[in-house]
Amino acid sequence: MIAHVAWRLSRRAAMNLWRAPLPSLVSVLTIGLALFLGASFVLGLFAARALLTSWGAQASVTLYLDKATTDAEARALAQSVRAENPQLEVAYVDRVLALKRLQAELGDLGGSLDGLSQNPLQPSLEVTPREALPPVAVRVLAARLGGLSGVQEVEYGREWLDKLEALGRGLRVFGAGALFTVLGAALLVVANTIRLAVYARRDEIEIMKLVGATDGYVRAPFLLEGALQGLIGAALALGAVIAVQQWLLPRAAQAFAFASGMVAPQILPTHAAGLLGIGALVGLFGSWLAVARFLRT
Amino acid sequence: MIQLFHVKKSYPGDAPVLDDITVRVEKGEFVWLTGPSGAGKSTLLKLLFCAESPSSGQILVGGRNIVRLAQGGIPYLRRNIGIVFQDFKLLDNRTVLENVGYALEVLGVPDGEIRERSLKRLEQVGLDHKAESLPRRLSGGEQQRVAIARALVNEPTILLADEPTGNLDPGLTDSILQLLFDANARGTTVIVATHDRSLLVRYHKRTISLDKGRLVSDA
Repeated sequence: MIAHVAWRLSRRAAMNLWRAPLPSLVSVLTIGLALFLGASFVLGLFAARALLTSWGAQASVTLYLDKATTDAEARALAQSVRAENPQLEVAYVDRVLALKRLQAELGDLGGSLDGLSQNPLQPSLEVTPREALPPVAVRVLAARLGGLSGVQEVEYGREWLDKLEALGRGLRVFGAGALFTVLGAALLVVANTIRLAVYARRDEIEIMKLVGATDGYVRAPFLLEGALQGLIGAALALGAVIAVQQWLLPRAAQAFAFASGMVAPQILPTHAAGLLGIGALVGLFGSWLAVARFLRT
Repeated sequence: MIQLFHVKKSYPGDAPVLDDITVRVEKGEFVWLTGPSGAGKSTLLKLLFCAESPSSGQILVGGRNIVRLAQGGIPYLRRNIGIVFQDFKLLDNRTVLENVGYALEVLGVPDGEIRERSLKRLEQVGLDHKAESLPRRLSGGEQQRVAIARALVNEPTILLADEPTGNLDPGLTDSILQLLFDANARGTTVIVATHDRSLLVRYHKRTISLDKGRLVSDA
């Protein structure tokens, strides 16, 4: 009996979609557009976060060693850091190389260093993460390496990292607020679109109630239709997001130098399933709101 | 079968639509409900199938007090009441057969049985050959016959008709009324609201007259 009625309601939902293609199409496109905007926004946030992280990774950590450190001791320390941290690239810069670099950086003024009686510079280890690290991780790494024996001072672009962290925090707060606003607006638009579609069928609802249909029986085909419309809309949104990810982002990364570190976030099957699920729920909830109003009257 | 005790229906700021109505309709009766426009005929019918609720008083249908009926119980009450309206209330995008079968669908009747019973009712109203037509292809009289077939398809114990001939040419009135008399002859209690006094003269049945919401005669 239940399977029989469920089959009949499903068939009716499909038939209603078929018989009123225009309102259904409007609902599908509205849901699709709303989800596309929402999903694009989330992907944009992930991409921006990845970009910030990649910028953070470019800030290398420099360990300044005691002047008295011998070449052998410095190389041993570099080897020890490498061994314990395979994720880091470690380059030893001895005092002579440091002076040469300084002279090169000073350019024409570099000759003034020739008159020095002794080399005032310290040997150092330049430590660079092989893969992107968030600013917090760079800070932790610097603190850990700064505690090593023989390390006198650590430099890691603290101000730069502070700014990056503040930017990341701002992005998260703004992102959460904007995402909430976008999704809220989308749900309202979707609910109203479905309400219009339901309104067009108010006569049908009235007749169903007159012949003794329960509220659940009246509601069920509309909910099924809403869920199906949401699912189709979400599938369209997913296709559009994948197209943007595959086609637009790589071109944007090529076109703008600042975005060269931007990596398009990977869309996993779980993300796709999540988007489809959200689409079905939005359609279902929108239909519920729309039909509830007519059932009350 | 149907009893109303001191029923009153009013809306804030307006004179009562129905005032102190006490009426009893026995099982299997045919009753005219008459009165001028605004007398309260339609409101009284709406009270019987719970489209409206009374401001005061009690209403018993089949021994059950429907004033105290919970919202969830209303569909089950309506499954025992066939309703016919002046404007037919058919679904334009459903065939005649589907319109008639609608009342059986909500009961969970299997498809084959719906078709069989709907065709039988359409045959009774003389429209089985139009089963696959859409209502808009039918004349007004034919559409009302479809509405009557839908109202009777689940064999209700009560049939309520609100101005069932109001939109029809006088020539079609008799054939429509004959369907209601036939249903009554099969044991259905029938209440027909009409403002057309010529019908009451032609067909002598019990007549309840309302005027400005009050019961003025019952004979």
